[in-house]
Amino acid sequence: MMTTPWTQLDAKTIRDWSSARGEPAWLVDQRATAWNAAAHTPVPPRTAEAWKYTNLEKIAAWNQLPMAASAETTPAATTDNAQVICTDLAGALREHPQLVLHYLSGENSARDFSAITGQPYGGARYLRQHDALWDRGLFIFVPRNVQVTTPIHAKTVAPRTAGAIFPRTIIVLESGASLTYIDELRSHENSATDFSCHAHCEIFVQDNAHIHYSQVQHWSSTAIHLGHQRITLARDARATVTNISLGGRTVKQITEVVHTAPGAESHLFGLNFGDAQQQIDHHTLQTHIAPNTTSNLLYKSALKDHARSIYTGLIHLSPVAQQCGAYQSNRNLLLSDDCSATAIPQLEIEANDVKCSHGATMGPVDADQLYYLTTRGLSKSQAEQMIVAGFFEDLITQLPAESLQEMVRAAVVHKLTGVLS
Amino acid sequence: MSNQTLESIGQDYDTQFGFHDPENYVFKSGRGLTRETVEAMSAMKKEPAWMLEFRLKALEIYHQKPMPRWGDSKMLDSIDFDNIHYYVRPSEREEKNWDDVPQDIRNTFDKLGIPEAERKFLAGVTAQYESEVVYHSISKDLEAQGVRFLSMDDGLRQFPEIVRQYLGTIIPPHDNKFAALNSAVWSGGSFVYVPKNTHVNIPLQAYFRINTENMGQFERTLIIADEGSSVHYVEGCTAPTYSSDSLHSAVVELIALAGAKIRYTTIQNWSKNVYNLVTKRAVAYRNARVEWVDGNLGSKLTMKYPAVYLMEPGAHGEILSIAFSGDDQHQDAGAKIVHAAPNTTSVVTSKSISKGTGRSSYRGLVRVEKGATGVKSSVVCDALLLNPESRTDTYPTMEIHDSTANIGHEASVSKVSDEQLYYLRSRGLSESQAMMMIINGFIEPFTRELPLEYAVELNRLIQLEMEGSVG
Repeated sequence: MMTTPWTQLDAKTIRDWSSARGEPAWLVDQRATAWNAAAHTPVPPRTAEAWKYTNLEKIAAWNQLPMAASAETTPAATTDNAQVICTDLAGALREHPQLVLHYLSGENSARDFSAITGQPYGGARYLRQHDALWDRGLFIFVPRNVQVTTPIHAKTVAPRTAGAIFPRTIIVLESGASLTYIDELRSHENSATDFSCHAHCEIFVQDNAHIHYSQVQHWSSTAIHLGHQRITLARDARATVTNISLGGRTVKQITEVVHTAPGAESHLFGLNFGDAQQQIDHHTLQTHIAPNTTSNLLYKSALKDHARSIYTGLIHLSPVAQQCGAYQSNRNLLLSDDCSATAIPQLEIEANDVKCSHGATMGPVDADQLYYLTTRGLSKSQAEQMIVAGFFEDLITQLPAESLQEMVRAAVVHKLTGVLS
Repeated sequence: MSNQTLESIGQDYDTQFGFHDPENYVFKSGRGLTRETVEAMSAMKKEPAWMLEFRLKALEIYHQKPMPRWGDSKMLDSIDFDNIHYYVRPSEREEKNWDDVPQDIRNTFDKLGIPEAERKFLAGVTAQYESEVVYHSISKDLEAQGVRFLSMDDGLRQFPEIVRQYLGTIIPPHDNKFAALNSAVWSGGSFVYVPKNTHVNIPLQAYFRINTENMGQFERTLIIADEGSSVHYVEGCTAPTYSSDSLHSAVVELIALAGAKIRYTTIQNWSKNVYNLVTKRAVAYRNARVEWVDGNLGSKLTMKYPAVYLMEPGAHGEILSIAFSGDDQHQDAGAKIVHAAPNTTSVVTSKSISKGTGRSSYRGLVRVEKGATGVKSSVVCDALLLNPESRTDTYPTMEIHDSTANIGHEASVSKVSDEQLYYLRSRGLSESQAMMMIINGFIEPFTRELPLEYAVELNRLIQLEMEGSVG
């Protein structure tokens, strides 16, 4: 299991591995079934809008790695709130079998994401693969009306040896609960091993519950990252979701928020800074299937060297989604001659009493701003640094922990100047 | 909005444009498309061998290419290609004198007001009926200046070298399935050449009419504006209302040489049983300017994305479009701009209105190639949804490979606000008058750019579409 490239595993090996992990029979079956289903699901076609620009299949470090030993680098998180379940997923399966069963099997397993432009989402194969192979992760359960005041800060560190990891996170907020959660993904310093992470995060926010979720990804520059996040919002539920993408060589992150009942509200933020040969590809889905729901999205990218950013996003309002508001904005700052940016912000609106808009901009640092700052005595690079810092600042302040904000600010400066401040 | 336009409420497409005339045709190909159909039509047109070869190669490409899987696949799949007449020759030849046009056909265009329009405000007119141009004229002084405005078939006969040099260079047959189809069975359309530094100040007009049921019309237009010249070309389209479908699949190629200006205005008002699948593309060289003014009112499904390739510094592209989708209609329209040279600029303005179960989609591309420095592009799309069942989509793509580009895109979707309606009604307007006024205001950036007669006609058409939609 731990020497064969993960793509070449077979259902029997996966069964044996699952049994050896002490998993219940239903899960052993589910993994094997999912693996067989994946084998029969085609790789995303080039025509699928969400997969047009990033082809993982061609990347050896995606296909050829064995699974990393699971004892290593299991995500860790703690909470001081005794009412909250905060444990690794394997442990939760033993201690709370019924609860975990509900959120991990059947219709709550890795479901297909919403269709885009009348086509299926296209990445179903990856979801099935993840169902078969998830090997670590956390289970967070906040019971009814419990407010978690101290943020839960989960940390996943990349293995020191070459390998693929498949973390799965399940977060459940019962009605009236609230939680601030930070998902930090990082590598050991100066790590240059081949590494891939295929992460999957499902967040269930029940009536009137609030989640503030942030993912801060700063893998080493050799990492390949594929992440799926789905946030399901019930009546009057609210989510603030921030994705910070700094590391990795090829990064594909899919984020979907499903507004299932009136009053649901989401705020999605993205901060990307690409340099060297990085490709950062975000796909977002704001899915509204109930009236009186609101979503608001702002993704910003700064790019230097040969970096490439791709943003594709869809706002979909179903025919019942009347009295909704949905907004989407993507801004790209181009800092070098060789970087490139692609943006495909999309709207599919099937209700009429709505307010929807999207916007996208691309351009270099504003010459007037640069000029103004240099007349005040700043060097050109100081001025540029200040402008880029300002460009990101509104997103950085969305992060719930001061230490995290400082970390991201420092990383932005480091990328700009090439030195650690 | 004048009283006159208000009074015309009550008329509809069927009586205005939806009639059809008896078929006294010289030739009508059988249903379906074979190599023999293409050979027969080429022979009938007495074309040079290279053109037949071009057609047959395109036919092969057409058969090889799969149906597009994007856009409205469901509607595309419902086209019955074997049920279509690919070539219908209504008369023996093209006439220069209106009185020589066969009586039936003349009646049709008389009802549509074509010669009348010519007398009033046009420099030249082409009228195409089914597959062939039946009438064509150009004012004497333009002809004297060397302006060539011919049917494409005549263009091929009189200027075979120019046609051979340019045809299919902007939109080659393998560009897409429908461009291949058109290249195989094209017939009619316009050939326009404007000599250096010549300005055609009043518009040239082409009018396209489908009369037969299950007809396929495949006109092909090539406009070349030589250095420093300018021209405005206007086209209009209608067809009878039949219970089964027709297909219109045109290819339009525009070439604006250095410093030239081309404006191409279309008001498409096909009946709601026509599939309108059109490829339109322009290239603009140094300091040239190309403008597509594109109105989509009719058809069952329109898929049309006028494009401008800005090939040399200083070129400017502009696409201004409106779409109106009524019940069961899908207007899938948009714009493509490719900035392939430094200091090129573009503006795209798109307005759409969806009514009843109508669906309007904007699908667009802005691409900036590497090395194309100092590019500026702005895209604005606004959609208005009138009924709860109406639908709108926006699918823009921006691919930016040069960091000095300044690119902006914005889109908004809304309904007519109750506040606006309330305000106008408090000033004494009826609800439908208020609605009409708001819609006229919404599309005003478009109508402002039309020749006056067209602007009036467009307002009237929208009014007809709007009839009974409120109160």
